[in-house]
Amino acid sequence: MNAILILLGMFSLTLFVSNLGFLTKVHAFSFLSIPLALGIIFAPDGIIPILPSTREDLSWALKVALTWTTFLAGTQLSEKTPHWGHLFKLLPIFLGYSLFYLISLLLISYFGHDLFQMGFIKPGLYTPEALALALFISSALFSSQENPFLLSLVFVSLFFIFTPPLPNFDIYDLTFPLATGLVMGAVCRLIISPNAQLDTPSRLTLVGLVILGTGWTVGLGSLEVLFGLSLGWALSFIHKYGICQDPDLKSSDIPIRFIVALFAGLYIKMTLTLFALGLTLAFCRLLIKFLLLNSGLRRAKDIEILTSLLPISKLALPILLSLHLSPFAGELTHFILGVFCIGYITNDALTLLIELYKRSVLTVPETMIHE
Amino acid sequence: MSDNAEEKVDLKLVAKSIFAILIILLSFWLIENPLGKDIQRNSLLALGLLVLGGIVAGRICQLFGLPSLTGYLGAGMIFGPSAMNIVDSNQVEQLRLVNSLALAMIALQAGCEFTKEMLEKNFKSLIHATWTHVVVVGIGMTTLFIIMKPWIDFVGEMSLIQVAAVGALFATVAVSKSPATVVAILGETRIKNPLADHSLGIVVILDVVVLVLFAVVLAFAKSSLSPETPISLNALGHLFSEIIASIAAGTFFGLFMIFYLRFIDRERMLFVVAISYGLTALCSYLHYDTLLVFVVAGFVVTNFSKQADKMILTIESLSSVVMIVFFATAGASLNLLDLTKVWQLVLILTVARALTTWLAEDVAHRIAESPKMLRKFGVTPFISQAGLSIGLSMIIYERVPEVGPKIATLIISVVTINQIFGPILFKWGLNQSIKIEKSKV
Repeated sequence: MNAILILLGMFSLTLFVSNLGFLTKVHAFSFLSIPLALGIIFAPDGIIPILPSTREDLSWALKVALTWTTFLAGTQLSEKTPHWGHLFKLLPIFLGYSLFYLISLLLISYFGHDLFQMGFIKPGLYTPEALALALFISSALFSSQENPFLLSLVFVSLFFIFTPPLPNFDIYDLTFPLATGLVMGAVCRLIISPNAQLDTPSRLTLVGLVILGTGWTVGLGSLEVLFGLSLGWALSFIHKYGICQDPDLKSSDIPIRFIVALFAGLYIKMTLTLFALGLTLAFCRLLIKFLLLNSGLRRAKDIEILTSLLPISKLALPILLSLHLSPFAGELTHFILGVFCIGYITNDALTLLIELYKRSVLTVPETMIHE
Repeated sequence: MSDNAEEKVDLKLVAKSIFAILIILLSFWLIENPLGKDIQRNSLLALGLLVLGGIVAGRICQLFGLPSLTGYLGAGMIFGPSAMNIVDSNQVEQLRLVNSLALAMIALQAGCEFTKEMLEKNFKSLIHATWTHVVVVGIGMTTLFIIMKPWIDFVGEMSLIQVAAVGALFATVAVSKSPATVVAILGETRIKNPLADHSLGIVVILDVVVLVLFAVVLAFAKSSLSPETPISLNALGHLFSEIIASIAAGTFFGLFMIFYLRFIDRERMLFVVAISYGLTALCSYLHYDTLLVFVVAGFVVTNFSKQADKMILTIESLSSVVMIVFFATAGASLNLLDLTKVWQLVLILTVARALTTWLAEDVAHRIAESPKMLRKFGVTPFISQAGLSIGLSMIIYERVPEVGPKIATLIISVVTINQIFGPILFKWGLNQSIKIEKSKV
């Protein structure tokens, strides 16, 4: 009960801050930085600490929130399915990503000295673990709203990071949740007809399926976000469900993402290494993105830059947090989450500054502002 | 809840839904057996199964004209420890967190339905029904307990006064009703008529009356069963002060809700959840009667402002999932094994409670000269028993160690039967009352 009260209080505070007039007018800023920062402040190792048990008591609610947010992202995946036309657009991004990967590898091998010392990964620049760790962090940070597919590299890296003596990430950890999502999609198809509106019974069924699938995946010791993505994709792609297109369903994403961000902050123990690494990587990310834009390899309008290119993919944080709540959790996932969160906040702050700088010359359509 | 009531359920949809549940269970079995992967049981798995199972069982019940609530209870019983044991008692315990929210919302909604006009219109029948329930059911059940002394093993050696004390404890719990069931059925059927008003009024009033009565009877039972414990009036004094404080707290928070809905009116769902949990925590800390606080708050909102519609709409949009979990968890907690051990005694006590409740209603409506519909179907809302009765049985279990465990088992077994058949009877009663109203028109 206490845990719920504390969460509700923090959530209300987040909503209050996010609804401040100034912030609601900008659109490069993702808002998630606010709950993230508040979470870091209220973390058990933060400035105003809460008890770790309070955080753990609510981890079940967080797991459902993670599945729900990835489920909603999954319903939009079919709209973003890449085709050959995209290749031309994506190639420069992957080129930029390769550069970012190299920088990440160098920085991690430099800053991650503590990590090597603690024996979480084998020391050295070219060990599979170090390469995979750099792949993990760089792909999560470099992903953007227009290119969430970069995050698939995150899952590839898990096979190389989590090798003995750490808990082993095997093919079943990937396939079981995905298959569960497909099964639940079929179940949903039976309970709700494809033409149904998003009324109370269908909403309830969706909630029930998401909770059941989350419990199922957690019971299997795997990542619930994979189940969420799979279920969302199955519903929108295979069945072309009307309910998935419902604006009410999509609008439920915002408060859930706030909860996810708030909790992510609660799990962070700030250190100088995390801070320096996250900050540097965020700066490098922006530099590379602007390098691509200025060199002419990637052309985009200002508004596209601010809404799609610069903001980090909204899927990245749930995936990282899900990993930190899974049986694979440890100092390594803690490190990854910390670096990412600092990078995320820095990136948000920088894009906000860029937008403020450009605002005088920007003409943004009214509809975009409201989005 | 409103959409739920409007959902068109046909045989095809029910068959598909059952097939869907079978697919889930089959996949579960396939992963655990041929594939050899262990799925660790957790509260989310339990919650998901109860929600989906509740939806499907609710649809089956709707197909046969039964209340969805019966389906939710049934799903809980099937998946619960008494049958399949996919949801074990630990998980049921963990899911009780949802119950606080459910009870708060039920009480708030009940309070919002309590208008001054409704109270004025039904004043006579409410007053008379309150005392007849206490007197007829109370005395009737106590007498039955005394008569049946030779057949109840745990009171065999007791004196007449002691048996009367134990009987009075059982009888007090028998007087209690289920506000949750009444609010849920009224929400599902959306019926508003004298029977609906009467049932809502009585369950709320009796909730407070039973609490006072229980404190008195418990003190009497403790002193008669262990003579070294004197009757203490302090507990009663405390109880009265807590009730007055509960009414005051309810009024204050009702005014606070009016202020919020009138001047801020944002994130209503979050507000309702926050106030439900926050106020429940406060009530538990200060020993206030949670139900009374929320009912009074709802009453204040509905009678002293124009914000009741907003409040009811918000509660309804939240309540559908909460109700399923609440009743499915209640179903999973019902102990069917205990019921089978003492079924003859339980059957007699259940029938006797139903008869005395019917008699109490009949006497009340004859004195109050209520409409014929109330005289005929007035008993139907009051057969159900749920959370309050189980809660009181747990207090008996702890405070009266001499007979507590035995009498608690007996109470829970009677509650099990009442909770299975009560909602069905109430829905039938409501439908019949509507038919009478239509035939008059």
